[in-house]
Amino acid sequence: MRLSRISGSLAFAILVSAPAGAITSGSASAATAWPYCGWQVAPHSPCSQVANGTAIYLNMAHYPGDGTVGVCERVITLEGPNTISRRCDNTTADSAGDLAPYPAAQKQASVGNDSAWKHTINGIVWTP
Amino acid sequence: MRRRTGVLAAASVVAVTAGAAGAAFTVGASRPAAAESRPTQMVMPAVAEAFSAKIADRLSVASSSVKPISEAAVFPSAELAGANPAEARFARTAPGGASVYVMPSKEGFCLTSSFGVEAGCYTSTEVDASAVICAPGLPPDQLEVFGVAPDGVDTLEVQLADGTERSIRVVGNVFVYRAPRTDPLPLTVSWSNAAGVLERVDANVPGDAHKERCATPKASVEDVTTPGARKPDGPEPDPSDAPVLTTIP
Repeated sequence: MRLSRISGSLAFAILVSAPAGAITSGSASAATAWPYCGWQVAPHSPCSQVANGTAIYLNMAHYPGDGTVGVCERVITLEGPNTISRRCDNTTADSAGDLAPYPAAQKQASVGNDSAWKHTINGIVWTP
Repeated sequence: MRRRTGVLAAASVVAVTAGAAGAAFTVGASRPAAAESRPTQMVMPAVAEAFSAKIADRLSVASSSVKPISEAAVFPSAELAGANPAEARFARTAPGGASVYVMPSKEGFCLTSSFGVEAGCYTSTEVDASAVICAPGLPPDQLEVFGVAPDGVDTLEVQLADGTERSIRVVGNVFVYRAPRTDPLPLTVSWSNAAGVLERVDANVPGDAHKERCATPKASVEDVTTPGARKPDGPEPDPSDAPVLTTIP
């Protein structure tokens, strides 16, 4: 969905962060992106770093390099545990609206590499 | 190259909340050296006014009559892409009865559907396949592969792990393959292009998809595309509840 769908340049911007002071005002809606993982992940494996929290409403996996690499995102509820979102795509996959029915649940988000070679995979979770 | 990227490209990076980051991150000792993790605040972009000519030229569904849908159908990554539900077009009915719509976005378009399974944003009209293993609107014993196909691609073949194929029809520029997770898993999706040449993309279904323990769909999953629909009930998450990152050895 190939979640769409984060541009490589923006993923980079998130990981290195934007210049402080580039603050605007008057926005009607905003979200905070929390990067995680961001290192090489073994073939067909999840990243060893996960993000925990109840406020997470979007999880995104992104391959920042050239070419096409399969990536997956996964979100579980710690109660159970049960998987409430698992989506895979080329380059980018995200949880779309899957987390909306679980606003109060303690969630754990992860990303993974679904290709046959080791690749860097970026994870980003979003909170209000 | 197929790309569904761009959801975030239109969003504006406006601030860095590095002050909160230090306390928010708990990282295990085995974490490899990697890019610094700091949260970034982003402002949602204004919605797209209409489909671009480039999209409309390749997706006839974008030229069909407008069918406005509820703002509740704009899932988080579609909001980041600037999707406009007031300019939605009905594409098709998916397995399970969901209505699938196409909406313009700042850099392309997004799919959305009644029960949220067929959801994603794209910057290209090339064939691409998304795999959904677990989602609130998907029965927990099934999986789905869906995507967009440009005009001229009327059918696709899904190649399964047992060597067989399933033919699926493209309706409203959207294809959907849904099957029990106990069936042979989809491996690739193929089609003939305008020149009659066979093309193929990965179905993006992970090899362990049949083992996944999906949550039973929530009763609160409802048709979010109907005007007047609202998001499911429940307490709003606390914005101060910063994610805690943990590295598993």
